[in-house]
Amino acid sequence: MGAFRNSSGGTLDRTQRIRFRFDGKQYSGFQGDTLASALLANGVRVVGRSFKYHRPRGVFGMGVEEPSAMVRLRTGARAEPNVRVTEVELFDGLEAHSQHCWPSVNFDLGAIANVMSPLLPAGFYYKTFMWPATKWMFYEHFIRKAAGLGSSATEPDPDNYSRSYEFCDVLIVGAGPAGLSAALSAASSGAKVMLVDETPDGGGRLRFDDEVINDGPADKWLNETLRELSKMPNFEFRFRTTAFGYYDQNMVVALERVSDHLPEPEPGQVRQRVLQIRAKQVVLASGSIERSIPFGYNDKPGVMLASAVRGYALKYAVACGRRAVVFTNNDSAYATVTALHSVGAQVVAVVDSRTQSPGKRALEQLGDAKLIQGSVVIKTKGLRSVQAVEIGQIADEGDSPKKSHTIRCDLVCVSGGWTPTIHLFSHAQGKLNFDDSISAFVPGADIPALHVVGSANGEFSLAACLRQGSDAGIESAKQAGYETTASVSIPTAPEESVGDMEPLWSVPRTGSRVKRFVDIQNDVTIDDIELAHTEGFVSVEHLKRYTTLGMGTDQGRTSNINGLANLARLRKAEVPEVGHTTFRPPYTPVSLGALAGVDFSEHLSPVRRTPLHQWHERNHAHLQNSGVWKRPAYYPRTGESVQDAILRETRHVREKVGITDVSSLGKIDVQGRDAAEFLERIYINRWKSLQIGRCRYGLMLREDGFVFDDGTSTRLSENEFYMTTTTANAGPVLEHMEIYAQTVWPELHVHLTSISDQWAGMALAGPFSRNVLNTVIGEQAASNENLPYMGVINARIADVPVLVFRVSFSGELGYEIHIPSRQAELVWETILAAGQEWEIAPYGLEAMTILRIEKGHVVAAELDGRTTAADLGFGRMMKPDGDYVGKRLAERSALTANGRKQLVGIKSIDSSPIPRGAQIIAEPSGGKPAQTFGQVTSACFSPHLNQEIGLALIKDGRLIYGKTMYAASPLTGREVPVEIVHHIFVDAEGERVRG
Amino acid sequence: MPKVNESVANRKSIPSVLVLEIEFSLLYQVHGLTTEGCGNRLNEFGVHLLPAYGKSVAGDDFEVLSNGPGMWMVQSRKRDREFILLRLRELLADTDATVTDLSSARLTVQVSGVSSRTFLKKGCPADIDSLESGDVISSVIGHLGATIHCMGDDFTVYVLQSFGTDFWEWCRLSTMEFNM
Repeated sequence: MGAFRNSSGGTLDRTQRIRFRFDGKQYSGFQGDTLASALLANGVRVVGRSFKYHRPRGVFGMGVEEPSAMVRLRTGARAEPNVRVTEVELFDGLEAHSQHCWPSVNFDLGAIANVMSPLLPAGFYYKTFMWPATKWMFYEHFIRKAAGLGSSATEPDPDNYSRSYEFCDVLIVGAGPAGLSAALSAASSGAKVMLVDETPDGGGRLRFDDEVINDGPADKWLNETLRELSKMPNFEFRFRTTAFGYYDQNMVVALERVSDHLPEPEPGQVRQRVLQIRAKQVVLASGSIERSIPFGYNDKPGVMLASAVRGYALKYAVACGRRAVVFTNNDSAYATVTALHSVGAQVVAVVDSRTQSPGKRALEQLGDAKLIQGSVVIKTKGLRSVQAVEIGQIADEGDSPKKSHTIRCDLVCVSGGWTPTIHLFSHAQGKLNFDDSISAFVPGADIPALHVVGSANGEFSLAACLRQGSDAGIESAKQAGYETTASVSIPTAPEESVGDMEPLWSVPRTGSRVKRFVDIQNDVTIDDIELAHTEGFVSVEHLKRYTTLGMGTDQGRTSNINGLANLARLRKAEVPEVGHTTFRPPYTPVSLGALAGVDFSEHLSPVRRTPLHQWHERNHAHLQNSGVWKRPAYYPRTGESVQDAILRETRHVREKVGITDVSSLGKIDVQGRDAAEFLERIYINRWKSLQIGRCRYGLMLREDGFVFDDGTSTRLSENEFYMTTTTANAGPVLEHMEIYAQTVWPELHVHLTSISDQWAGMALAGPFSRNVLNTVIGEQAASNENLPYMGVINARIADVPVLVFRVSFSGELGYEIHIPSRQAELVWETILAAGQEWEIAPYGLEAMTILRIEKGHVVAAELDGRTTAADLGFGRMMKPDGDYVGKRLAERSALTANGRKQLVGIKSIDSSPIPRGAQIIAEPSGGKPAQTFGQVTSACFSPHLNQEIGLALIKDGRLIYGKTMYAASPLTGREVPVEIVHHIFVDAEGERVRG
Repeated sequence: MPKVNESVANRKSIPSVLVLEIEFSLLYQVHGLTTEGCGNRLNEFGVHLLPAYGKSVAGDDFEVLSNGPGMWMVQSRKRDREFILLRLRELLADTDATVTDLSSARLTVQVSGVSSRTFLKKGCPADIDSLESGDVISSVIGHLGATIHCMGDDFTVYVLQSFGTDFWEWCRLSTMEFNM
């Protein structure tokens, strides 16, 4: 076993030995180890290199606060960078690699940056790489390469991630003494309680600290409590779960690491799960984190938080060093002395910066270690790790300490006090107060339905933590509607003073080149803060961004307060005056995979497919996105280019017969005895007069008088209309009509139901379309007499009841056949089979677009929200009498005045393609600014006319037919001469569609 | 039983979730029907009283689900589509109610198994655990609008037919951890 592990002690399962590799070398540990404890047990001190200066770094903390011991965990596609070794549960076969070093962590050529560090102070790249300005991108490449942390895997992530929406009466964050006490009280009321904790088993420091609860060992109470809670059906544990964000209305988002403790997830098992928890009440028992003291070279491996050293000793039986010095400004670090003794380490001295004597319990814990009061550790010595410390005394505040002696040691246990973990409270917009007694920010004014307890609330005595937790549990359950029974007993612990702490925000400078690190993740030193202050970055937010203090994966958990206090010192202000930076979610890094869940790749956003989608795929259609829909663009044949396929399909419709899928059209069932009156008010044209079995083209306006949408509506019976809308506006039109039906005209008896998914649609168009229809529904049914233009009949195709509409938007004889969508493919194939004699062929969206431009039919490109009915040539549809939505504002002068842009057709004069979106100008401009008279809305090559054509909105366009203008596209540098013509190129008289 | 990271504690003990399409589900949306207006008109379908808002009642081969204020979804798995549409319209002809056929408009799936709630919670932001037998909610699953009908630990889920493929794909990805 490792040379730094005691043969007994700790809470490990020593029967299960686990083998793992770090930087290719094999080591072993035990079940229950973290990677950090196993590395320490094996004497591995240098785990990584620092962000900026490539200085050697070792394990500093024991949990989420760890700033520097990060590795690349696993290999291949599952490799994950920047994983804190303190949070990795050891598993057999684990493989980890140090990161940000070359060729090895112990000999890193990048450490040249440390030698050059005087040239690389905070913000150096803002000042050094200014010239020439155009070269910044060049410099940036190298700066980014030199700095940074680990690199992520480049292969696709093979794991599954999940999300779960959870609800509870009381959510408790943190399963330490306060959280467990709260859980017991709240759950005993019958409330639905959920407890989340980031560790595998909860309990916090009760798992190893020598504490007493209910007159017995704390771990006994802990196990009994966990057992009791586990018997409650209204209680749920969520271990290995970190609450990382607190959002509105008490929604807490947490990350559950479902299988990260396994070599790899079992087949099908998710790796991580994001929980979105809605709680009526939240109890934050998120604890506190010990902070460091900046002194000379306090970043070396061997400098650790005192509480972490204690934890490794008691929980894992690991001595983090042989000869230790404890450096503290408070009593809590004294417990580390006894812990180190228990694993055979020697504590050479306790250096206490306070002049007053520590508390009684601390003195008991000191044992035979030497106490050096009123002194500080000036700096550490040693190349890659601590080999000695220089001790000195500070005569007056702010003076440099005078070195008194050097102590040989390999471990410095540092404690600068405790910082409550109030990140989630801040996410909830909670204001923080500065508590001078603990020199830390604590929760300020209460937030409804949120209770902060224990050390997160600045309360560090165990007795008080238990009491606050229990009280909060009772109160939160009560506010959630549950009364706690009188039988709930509050756990007790000895009332002990935790002793006063005296803030020591940094050990004063003793030499100009001695680095005193505030943020050891980002290599931010006291000198950097002083430089920032000198250069005018005196706001904490500016300080953060200029120096990177508190950024990165640890977000300054052990360093922020030191940085703020040093800025306060420089500003000659108090810490509360300086304030603090804003805590934002996530509290701790969350993998992008977990946030995405199953919403990735093609599942990123929902896709609508028509009922004929599989047929299109089987027949090699090129599918394109059309809003949320997948629609066939064209059906290429072997060896055919895209353009050839589109032109072939277009010609086929003009010359023979084609069929296309129009299922994505919006369809709305309008029913009720006032349905006709309702449409009369929604559309600009008349509807009451429409006969049963007939359909009509309709146009609706927005309230501001501009065109909203168009489509046909069919009267199926006296009180039932079948409305179609454009694909894009299916939802907005229904919403628009519902608002009018429910709030503006509640007196009208009308009901609206989306039937877009109920009915598939297919358009049959071309000179032979009636021949095809004759075959499938019979000649009499398809005759011009029975089914005239704009007529509708019920029919059956392949014994499926269908609606056949005689409508066309292509300028050809055409029909739309609507079928219950489940039978769509059967009917489609029946029509294709029946049409073989006339060489029927499917056509896609691209051909449909050309056909409609040739016919001059408007779509979304022309209904762009800025056009009026008159602009589009529908002015005469607007009924002069009777009211309808948009009528009033459509009559305002700006919308009826001369000079508005009007829909026209354009033809390319020199046969060059007309750029879509081009501006219409009067004369060639040579790329110079010119007055624009309108814009091209649609353009294509018309195979029917053998010409480049388009639609455009041009000022007074209908008055200048025959005029030559220019379609200018500054982006492409093209100016195409075009002739202004009528917007209908094909079948202007409507003879084909009525034929 | 207490729950300790349910899906983590002992994966082998987790029963499968079963998600099956109900292919012959007939659906009709009834608008504007009141309890008074309904009277005993639906007696022949075994429906004697309209359910309260957010609830459902079962008749002979029929279920009536309240899916909005004054809105009812009539569901049947056995009878003839056109017949039911005509018959419903006939029965409600002298009321203010209207009937719309949605039999092809929805993908109908049955979710069953003791982990059915855990499965639905992966995609539905509503409080699935609080649903009781007979409850009906309109929510979303996997970002897709859905009507969810609870029948104990079994659920019937209705989503738009055009999102059916997407919904199945969501189901496929989300049931992997249940050994489906």
